[in-house]
Amino acid sequence: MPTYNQINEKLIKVEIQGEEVFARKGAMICYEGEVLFSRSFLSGQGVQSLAMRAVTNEGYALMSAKGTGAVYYGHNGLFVTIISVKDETLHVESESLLAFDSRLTSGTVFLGNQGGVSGIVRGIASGQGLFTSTLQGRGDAAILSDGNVIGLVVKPNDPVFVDPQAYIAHTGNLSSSIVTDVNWKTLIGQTSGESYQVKFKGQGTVYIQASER
Amino acid sequence: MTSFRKNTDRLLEVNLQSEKVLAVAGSMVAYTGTMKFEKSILGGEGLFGALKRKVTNEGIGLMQVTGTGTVYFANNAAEVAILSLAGDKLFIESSNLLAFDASLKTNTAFAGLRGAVSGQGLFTTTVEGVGQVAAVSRGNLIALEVSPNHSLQVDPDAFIGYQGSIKQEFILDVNWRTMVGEASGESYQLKFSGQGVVYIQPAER
Repeated sequence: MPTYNQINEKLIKVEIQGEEVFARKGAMICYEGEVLFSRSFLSGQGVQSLAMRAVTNEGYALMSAKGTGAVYYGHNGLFVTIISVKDETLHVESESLLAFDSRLTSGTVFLGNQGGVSGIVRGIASGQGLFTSTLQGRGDAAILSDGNVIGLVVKPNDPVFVDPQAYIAHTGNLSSSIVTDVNWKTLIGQTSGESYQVKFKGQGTVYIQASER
Repeated sequence: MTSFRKNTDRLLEVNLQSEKVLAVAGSMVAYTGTMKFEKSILGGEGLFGALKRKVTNEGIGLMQVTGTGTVYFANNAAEVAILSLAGDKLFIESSNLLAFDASLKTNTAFAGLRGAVSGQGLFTTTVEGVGQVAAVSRGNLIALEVSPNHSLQVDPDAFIGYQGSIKQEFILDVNWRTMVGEASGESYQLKFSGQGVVYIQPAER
């Protein structure tokens, strides 16, 4: 089982014993032991999902690391957070994904399936595209953020509203929808800068960063 | 009374009970409960204050957040510091302001020669009253004390604000080397004397 260790807030170490770890291409900083790196085309997903990724533009260039030893990952001095996925689905923006291992199955989800039209609006409004990446199963994933990641807990009676530009990932049984806060001031060009938000409802955790893209 | 809290180094958490808080437009990252965001056109300064901001270019796009719940504010992953005001006046660069209590009064003040040299403009923002102010800085905010016997020299590019009865002067360190283009990079500084606190950041604009 690959083990993830936080070296400091911007660097992680993944120890592998013959397993395979997928990471954002070029994110390896250094390694110890016998590890081979190769461009991963299928990233453990099969041909169909590769085609989907290519078509949906939710493509991220992944590389796989295989062997025995320890690999250190980091990217652009961004903060790295390790998230444990426990038999659930982690939705994450592909540009915020740093590394995950082969215990997790990755996929691509059409936002429209998640909240109808508002899902589509969310994708367009946040500039994140219409698709998002998912990781499913039991294992760990490492995500990137500008500033520390903050996990906000969503409870059935406590929906959380998030600025689409600060959104990074979410887990649990959540449904998202877009809410707008448009009034007469917006129409005369005096916006508060917060005219739309994503509302998360249900039970789970939403991860945000302290910065807006 | 609104309560300001740091959730992490870079995230400000504000609890509101049908109260209002003013923040830099666009700085909200998340909230729970019911909140309303509105552009604050006058920034609580009245028509004259708004006009003055327009003219002095010390403009800050502020929004007013009203409601009940918790709001989270952040700005470009910059470090957040919370300063408490007990009836005194805080001078702060408008670009370092993140949020403040709606009970506080803001205004514009002439910054003197400092502004012209540091490229921060000739004017600075003042916040006055009783309440809390959240400031952002690149790297942790550092508070340096100034007392009558100890004056303080600060690089204008690292300067963020000050509080208390402080007099500021501009000092130049120009010699023949500066003239031949061999400057140390520290040819001018700000000198603060009096009694109070000066805030700086460990980064230069």
